[in-house]
Amino acid sequence: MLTISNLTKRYGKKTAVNRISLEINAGDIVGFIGHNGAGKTTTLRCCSGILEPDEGDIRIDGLSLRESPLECKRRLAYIPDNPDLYEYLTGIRYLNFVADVYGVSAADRASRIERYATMFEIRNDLADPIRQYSHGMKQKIALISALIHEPKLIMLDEPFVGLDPVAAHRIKTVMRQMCDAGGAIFFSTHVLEVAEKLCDKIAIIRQGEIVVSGDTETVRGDSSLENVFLELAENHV
Amino acid sequence: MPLILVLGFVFILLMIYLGFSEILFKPLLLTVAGTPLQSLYWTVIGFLALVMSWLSILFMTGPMVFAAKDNDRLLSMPIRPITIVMSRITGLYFFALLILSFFFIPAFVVQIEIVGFNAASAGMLLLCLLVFPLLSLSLALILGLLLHLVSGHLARFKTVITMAVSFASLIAYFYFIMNLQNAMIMMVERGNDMQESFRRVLPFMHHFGEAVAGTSVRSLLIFAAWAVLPAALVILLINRIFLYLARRVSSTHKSVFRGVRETSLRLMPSLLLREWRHYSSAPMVMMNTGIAAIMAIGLAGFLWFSGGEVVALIGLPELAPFMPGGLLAIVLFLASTALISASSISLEGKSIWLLKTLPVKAATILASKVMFHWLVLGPFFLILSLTIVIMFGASLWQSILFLILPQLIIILFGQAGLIANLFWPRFDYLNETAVVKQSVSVIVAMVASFVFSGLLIAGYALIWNRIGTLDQYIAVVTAFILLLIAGLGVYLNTAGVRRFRGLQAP
Repeated sequence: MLTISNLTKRYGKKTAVNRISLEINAGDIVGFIGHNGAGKTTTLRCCSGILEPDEGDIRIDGLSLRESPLECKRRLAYIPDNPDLYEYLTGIRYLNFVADVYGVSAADRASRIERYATMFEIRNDLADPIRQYSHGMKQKIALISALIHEPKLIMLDEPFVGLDPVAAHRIKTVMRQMCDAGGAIFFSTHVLEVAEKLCDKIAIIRQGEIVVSGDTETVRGDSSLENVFLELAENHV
Repeated sequence: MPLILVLGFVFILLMIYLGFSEILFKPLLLTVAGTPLQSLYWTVIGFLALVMSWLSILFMTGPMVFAAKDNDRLLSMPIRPITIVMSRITGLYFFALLILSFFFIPAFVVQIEIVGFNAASAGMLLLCLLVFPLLSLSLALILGLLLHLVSGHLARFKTVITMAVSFASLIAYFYFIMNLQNAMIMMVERGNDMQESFRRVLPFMHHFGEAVAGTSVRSLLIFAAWAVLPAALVILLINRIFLYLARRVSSTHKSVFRGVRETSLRLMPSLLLREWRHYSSAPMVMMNTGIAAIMAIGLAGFLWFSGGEVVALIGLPELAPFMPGGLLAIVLFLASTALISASSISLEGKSIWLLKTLPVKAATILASKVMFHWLVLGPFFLILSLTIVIMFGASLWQSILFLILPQLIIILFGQAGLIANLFWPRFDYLNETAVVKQSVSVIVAMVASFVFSGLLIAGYALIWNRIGTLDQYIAVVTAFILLLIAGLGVYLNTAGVRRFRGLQAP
């Protein structure tokens, strides 16, 4: 579903991501773990088309992001760590805008918005301006907007920050359902317990390079993900 | 970057001097020069400058002083509230000083031209200029505070309230400017009464005039007291209630969700609707970037209701040939003040990531911004064009050109503004007013549009006038602008798209 080959991204002289490669298949939930500044967000932003890679190739559902950006974007959804949405729109207007751009029919959008807004307990707030929303509510609207066109791949940057436990649980359920239906999820997190329980695969990035990646069971071995991560950090120090 | 801002400042000064010295400053000073009423020159200019600077900062007080987005962050730091208040008011002080300079510097140059240089008067003006912004600040902070408190309770009507107050103030201001000729006649006939009226009703303005024109130290001190004391009281008041203002949560109207829209929109209408919702949610952005639309409709209204006098001027054979060209020149300059596209990328702010992840071509996004610029202004300028065509009985050929050219100019300036914004985007702002008032792209777009308009007018006055007719010139200019639009369109679709892809919010 997502193939990253030798991705490199530089900011001036600083190399944020250095020749990383990663394969995410349909049905996979992949957790992306690393220190602050390790290159997680840069990788996700490159894969979502926000940043242009300096080197390497990114393929989504077999299509090159560089050659067919629009087709790729139709197949994916991205949610940043801090969802800066259009504060001047109401929640429902924002969702309608996103649905219009993705060409979601009126009937489909109505049923999906009703379903997810009810699930995330935000239905009664949809007519209010987003500027009145809390961080968690913005996160919920961003999630609904990501799900509205039923993407094959969702990339999320720290999706559980600011969410209440019920919403976090429901997101995990939706993530699992989506992957069981043939989709894929690629998300960054600092919450290692969540990654350990939820993810089929784990990739650990350090200083712009992937140091470990594979099935969660394999990466963890007999230890815990936290121990593996700390061990890698100590080895580096 | 600072060089561009300095050049922009000098350019605006020059434009104001060239635009107003002949129709405002010189007639005003010539009326009273050498008489005991000479101080009225500075009193009237001071009054006009006060109103304009007050209007300019009034709606900045809310987002910059009372409800700034960084209130929580600053209040959590070991900083005293008075320091926060003073730092913000200082920013407004300098902005007011800038606006006042646009009036006083050209007015002083005119004084030098007519009555000669007077070092004492220059010194007095400089001293007055340092305290003058405090007058504007006191008035703006008090009314701004009231508006902030009222609009907090009527959050739904905030845009309507802001627009209503802005329009009412502007209409009153322009009414005063339009009737300045009557004021000058009054100065000649009843100058003493007028001076006395100012002394009684607006004593600070009277003393400002006396200080600069009469170099009266006593008046300078009285004027300074009028400026400083109210400002000190207002700042003390705001300091006392600042914590209440900063912690106050505006009453939020809970809207009822009535279900999902039953129709879907195509891509371009959807992008345009989004632009409109953003634009109409920010009255200050509307006021600062789209004032040309209001002025166009105002000019059309003026021509409908008072156009008889203008038409009568055509009866004067020597003026008739210049009338259509003159009106077209006004339309050109009006279009130059429309800066909707010049800030439209900056106004995406931190949410610009969204446009980049959506399956929309960058070229389509840029096209939607130019189209929105045209859609907001085009209809108003079309009404103005139709008015000119009907009022002046233009020929069919002239009518076609008069209807088409302003529309093309709007598109061209829309493209140019967008390109300026692609070169100088600004995403690190705390409120949108700062973007439309103080960003490089807006200044560059405005200066470029003014210069372009000036060159077109000069091209006719200095060159074409001798070799061809006005109609031919307008036809050539129309063709030239069509070529420019095509050229800028190609640029936006290639280099512009690359620039857009490279934009990053911090």
